[in-house]
Amino acid sequence: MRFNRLASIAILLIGTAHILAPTAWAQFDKPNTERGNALLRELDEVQSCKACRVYLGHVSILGNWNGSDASNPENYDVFHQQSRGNTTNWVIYGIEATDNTLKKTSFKSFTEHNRIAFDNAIYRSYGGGWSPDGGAWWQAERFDANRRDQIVTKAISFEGINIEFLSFPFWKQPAANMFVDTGTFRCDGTVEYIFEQAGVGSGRGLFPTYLETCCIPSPANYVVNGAMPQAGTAPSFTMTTTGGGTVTDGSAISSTTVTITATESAFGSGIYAISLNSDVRTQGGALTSTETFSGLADGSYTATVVDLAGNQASAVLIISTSVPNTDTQDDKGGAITDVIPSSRCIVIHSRDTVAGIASISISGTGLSKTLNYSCGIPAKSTDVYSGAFCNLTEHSTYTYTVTSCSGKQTTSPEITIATSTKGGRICVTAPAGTFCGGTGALSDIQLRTYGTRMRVCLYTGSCGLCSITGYDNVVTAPAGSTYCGDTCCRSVNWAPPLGYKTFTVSNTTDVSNGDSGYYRFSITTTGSEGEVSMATLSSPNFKMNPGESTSGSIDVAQIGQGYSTDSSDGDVNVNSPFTRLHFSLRDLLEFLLPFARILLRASSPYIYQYIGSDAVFNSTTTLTFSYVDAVNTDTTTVRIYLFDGVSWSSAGITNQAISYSTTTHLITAFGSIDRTGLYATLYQAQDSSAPITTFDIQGSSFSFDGAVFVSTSSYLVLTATDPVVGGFASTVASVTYRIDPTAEAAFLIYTTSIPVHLGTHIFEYRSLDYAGNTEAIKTSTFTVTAGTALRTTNTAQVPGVLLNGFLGSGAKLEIESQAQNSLTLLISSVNRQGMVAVDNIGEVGIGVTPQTNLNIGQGSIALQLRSGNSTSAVTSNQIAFAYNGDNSMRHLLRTEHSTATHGNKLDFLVWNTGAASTTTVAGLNVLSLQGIASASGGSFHVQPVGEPDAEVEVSNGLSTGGGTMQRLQVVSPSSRRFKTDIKDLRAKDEDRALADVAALKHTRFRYKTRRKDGRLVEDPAQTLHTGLIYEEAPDSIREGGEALSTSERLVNVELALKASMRRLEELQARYERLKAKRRNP
Amino acid sequence: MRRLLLAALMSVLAAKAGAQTAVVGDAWIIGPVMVGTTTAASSRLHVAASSATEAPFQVSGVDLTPFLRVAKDGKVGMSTYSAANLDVNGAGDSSNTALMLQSGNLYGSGTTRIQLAFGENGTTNRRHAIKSVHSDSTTHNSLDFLIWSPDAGLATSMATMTVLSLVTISSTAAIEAAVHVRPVGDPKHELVVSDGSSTGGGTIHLASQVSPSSRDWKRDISYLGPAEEAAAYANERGLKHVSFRYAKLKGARFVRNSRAPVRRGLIYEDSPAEVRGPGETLSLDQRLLETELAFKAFARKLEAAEREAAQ
Repeated sequence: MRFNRLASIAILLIGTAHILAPTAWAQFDKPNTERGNALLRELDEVQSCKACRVYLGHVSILGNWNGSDASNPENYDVFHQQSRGNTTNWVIYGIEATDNTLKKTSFKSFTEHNRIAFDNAIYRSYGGGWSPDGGAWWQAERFDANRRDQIVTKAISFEGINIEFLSFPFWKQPAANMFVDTGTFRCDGTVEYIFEQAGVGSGRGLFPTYLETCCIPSPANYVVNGAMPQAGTAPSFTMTTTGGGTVTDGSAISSTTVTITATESAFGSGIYAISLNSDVRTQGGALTSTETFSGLADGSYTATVVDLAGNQASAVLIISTSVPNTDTQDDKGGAITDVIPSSRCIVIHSRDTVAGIASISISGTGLSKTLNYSCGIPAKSTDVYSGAFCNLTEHSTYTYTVTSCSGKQTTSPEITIATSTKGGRICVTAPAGTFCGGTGALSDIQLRTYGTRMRVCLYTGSCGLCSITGYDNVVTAPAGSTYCGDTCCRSVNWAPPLGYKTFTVSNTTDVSNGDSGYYRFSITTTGSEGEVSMATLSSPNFKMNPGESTSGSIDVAQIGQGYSTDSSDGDVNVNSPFTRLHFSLRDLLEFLLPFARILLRASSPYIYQYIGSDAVFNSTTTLTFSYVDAVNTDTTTVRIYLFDGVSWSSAGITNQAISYSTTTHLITAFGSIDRTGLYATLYQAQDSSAPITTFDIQGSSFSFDGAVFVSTSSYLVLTATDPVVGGFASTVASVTYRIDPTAEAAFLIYTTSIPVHLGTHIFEYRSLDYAGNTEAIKTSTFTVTAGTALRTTNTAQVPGVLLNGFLGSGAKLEIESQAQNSLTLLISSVNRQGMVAVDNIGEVGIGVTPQTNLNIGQGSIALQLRSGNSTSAVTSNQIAFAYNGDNSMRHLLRTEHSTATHGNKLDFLVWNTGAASTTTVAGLNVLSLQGIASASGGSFHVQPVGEPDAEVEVSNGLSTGGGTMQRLQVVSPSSRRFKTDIKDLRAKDEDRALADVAALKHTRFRYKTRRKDGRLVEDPAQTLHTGLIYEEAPDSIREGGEALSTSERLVNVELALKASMRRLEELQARYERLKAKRRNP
Repeated sequence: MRRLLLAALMSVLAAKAGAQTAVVGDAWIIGPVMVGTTTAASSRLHVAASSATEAPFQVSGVDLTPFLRVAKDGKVGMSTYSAANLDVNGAGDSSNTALMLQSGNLYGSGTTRIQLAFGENGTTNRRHAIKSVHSDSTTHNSLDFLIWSPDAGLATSMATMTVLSLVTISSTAAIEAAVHVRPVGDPKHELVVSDGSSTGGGTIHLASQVSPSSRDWKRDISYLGPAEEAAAYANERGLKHVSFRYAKLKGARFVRNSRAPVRRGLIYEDSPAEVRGPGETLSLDQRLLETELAFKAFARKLEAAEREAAQ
């Protein structure tokens, strides 16, 4: 069950708010000063330096002390400035002590220790430029280096100035030196100054880019006098009151004026400010300053003194000008004024709400005793200090004094111990009269409390006379009063330890005691906000006698009105006995249910003491709450609850009923209660709405082309709220996120802003409320880029050089690749498609993401080269193919162009050793694709160099040279002009050819298949061929490469045929001759 | 120490050399960027070269390697200083591809895309071309070499004459070849194979040669008879076979090449017209045909002699 927290939170706002005001000097960086100390210790204690030098920056050099008479400033080099170039160009600069001008000398003179005197100065150059002779760029910042406050003041004045370097020519020197006070030295100031500079302005000012210290060994005639001043020592200060009284840290005073005197040591930086709480008074930096603060109100104060170096000291004090409150009773709790009627004890309760109580003392007959209590800060201002002094002598007088921690005292008048009567009953005798008539004892008043005291008051019915008798004490209300006040009250006190006591109003006798007295009930209405505008209290069944009842009501006019939160609405007096009281409260401030604290006479400020059983009615009392519903309250969950100090519970509240008016929307809750306590109506709120998380980027970001770019210096910030629906929100329980998540990635709890890292990220986030409602995942995509972005929507004109990356090759526009960027250059189209890209390894793509050195995407023409030759002088090449990233052994693809069919060529040239050098392009045209070339007469001309076995190899997919060439005819160049060494073949050649042909062993075979490993293997898939086997063929038809020449085979056949013809003709001739011989024997 | 200080000093001096704007982080510039000029240009990024700067534009690697460099003479180098209009570096021994073109044609989807076009003398006139056809099967993948000819139409038209096609295997029965020489017109020779010394003096290494011989491909067919056989017999009988060496072309002259192998054959001028080819060549096919015809005549004579002898 979750209750309306808005309604219950008000009771938690009890306490004191503490607001700490920031101090103006908090920006000084203490750790840097500590570093200065460390360096100082290193110089002094470890290296035993007698002189030191420290310089910040990167271009300054200090000269040395030459070891001679240290008292003579002429023996000190100052510093020189290294100029550009080699040492022959070095120049030395220094500040002339006499006229404070910059002097320059040569390197040579420097090496000869030609010194220039100078005095205390910080030298700085400005970042706007550089001058070889330096004179225009240097400025001496003069100050008293012996004054640490001046050092720091100067440092502060430099804040925000771009200082190239600072040089600190301070030397640890003995007395009589130009730089130091007598017997001391200032290295510490120098070092601290450097680091303090680094810390000034939280990121602005100087940052040491180069720091060097140099120790000068102890010269024999140097003696370091005086103690080393400790850097970072806080100033001391004293506080005094008017008249010179000293105020110690943590003490309380009653004076309203405080004077603070702050003092720095001789090496301190000077007093910067003196403050008392928020009253900060800036000082002039002197070593001693005094400020007086007057008219101070009661309260706690912090006195702070800060020096220019940021060192500070503080003390606290309390001012309390009021005397302590006291309340004195006897041991029965009876109030004591000047006579104690029935007790020999004086119980003193005291409290000082500002400073606390220091002591309670009593003195009188036979007694002088003081009870001391501790003072301090924070003061025990809410504690009640009680002192019980008993066994006092009867009929003697005593005086007690309560002293506060600020010294203020309350002294009682003399108190007389009048009687020894003791009793636990309070007897009341009301005076006779209209309202207070009747006599008799009001019996059976029992007190029950955990607290230390309680007061019970008796009042007249209306303001008039009343008296309380029994203790020789009659109090009469002032005539004409309309309200009696508390004067008739009696407080009952118990000294600790206190036991369990009860306070019950019971009408045990059920007998009316008439109008003799009234018991007072107080109602405190408590709203979390606003004021109670009306409260009524009624006792409709007030019984004058047993069985009788009366009714009435008392509105706010009678009990007080317009009371603020937690204020009492006043007291309502009701005659006893009573059996039922009806309290009705209504808070017109909608949305809020009223609280009612119903107490049976509990007087402020001790109400809190009634925790527990409280007063118990002898019969139940009806409590009614009503309020106007404006939030669709689920009336079935409305209940009246009682707060027991820890939790709310409806236990013990009986007869609960809820009514709801559909016309007025008034919700009324009824319940019967039987004891005093804090009651409220609560209802169970419903929250079915998820929180709403918003995402923001803290830092530099930029949206461009639908994408969000974020600087690495930015942070991701999530803010979630739980919407108030129906008047209630269970509030955000957790905000979660995940970056670049996988499907199963867990969400992380968001606690603080999230730093970002380079790259494109997907950021998911959502929130959860206490009712368990989870927000749907929200997603944001952004790209984190380095540094601070330069953005402009304007045209950028760079007359100079535009460099992306730290380059310097001399290009007008140069872009350096970065490993984290896949592309170094991307030129995109209007629809953001890449047109030209260079990746980070040098590959170039046109229309595509590059995958090769030059990768050109699809187009009607991927690459067009225009270096074709159109003249007879063929010198241009379209493509050169070079070797392995080199410019050597280049093959070529060359073209020629002509308006006629012939003359158009694609020539493929291969480099060979016939070229002049490896860098000479190829000259060997191996293949020429031509239209119709007049020179060769071929469209495809293979023209190698040398004597390969075959100029054209036609293979099939299975074996080398196993291919088939389809053509109409094969011709051979045969003109006599192509040939030399021509010899006629004769009959014997024909006969040999015939023999060769006759001897041919024709076969049927299949070619083998050549595998990838080069082996020849049988392959039944090959087709059957008929032909010859090289090894079985005659030499006359063999060619290189184990080939047989078709041409030679044809020649052999031709020759063999001729031989056969000749032999046949010879045979025919012989046959003719034989026939003739037969015819003519 | 002094060296340190000197180095630091030099860096300071460098930083102060001129007016510069440094952007540590990213830069977005919506408008055009002009570098080296204050004159507005229509391009998004305009870099004006100057004689004092060797390269107006350069994309560099982290080690200042010029990934893409445009020299002031307009030559473009990729990972190199350009020695040509476009010079692409590469590590050939590292399986590096210097140039990749992706305008190939998918087989069956037309062949209009050109991978590489060769224009004439700085123009787009008379462009020869290389184009490629691609298929996910073994067949039809080809590299086609086109030579411009007047048949293309305008001088600015792309070449249409595929002179050479390097193809895996075509399924078309008419073009079952890996290398297809396809000239336009009627050149004397479609394929000339020379050796290093003489034109046409080369050797083709192959298993067989075939000729298109189907009746479908031929017209005006007439059969050769005994008369042609007798003439062939006479021609064959009269062939003057010789041994010889091919001469070497030196300038415009043919000179003796002692390194050329001794071959046997015929002399064009001594040979009958029936075996003569174009360009002072002898046709191997015509010689074979003449031999076949002569053999038929020889066989007939031999049969006649045998019959007569049997009587």
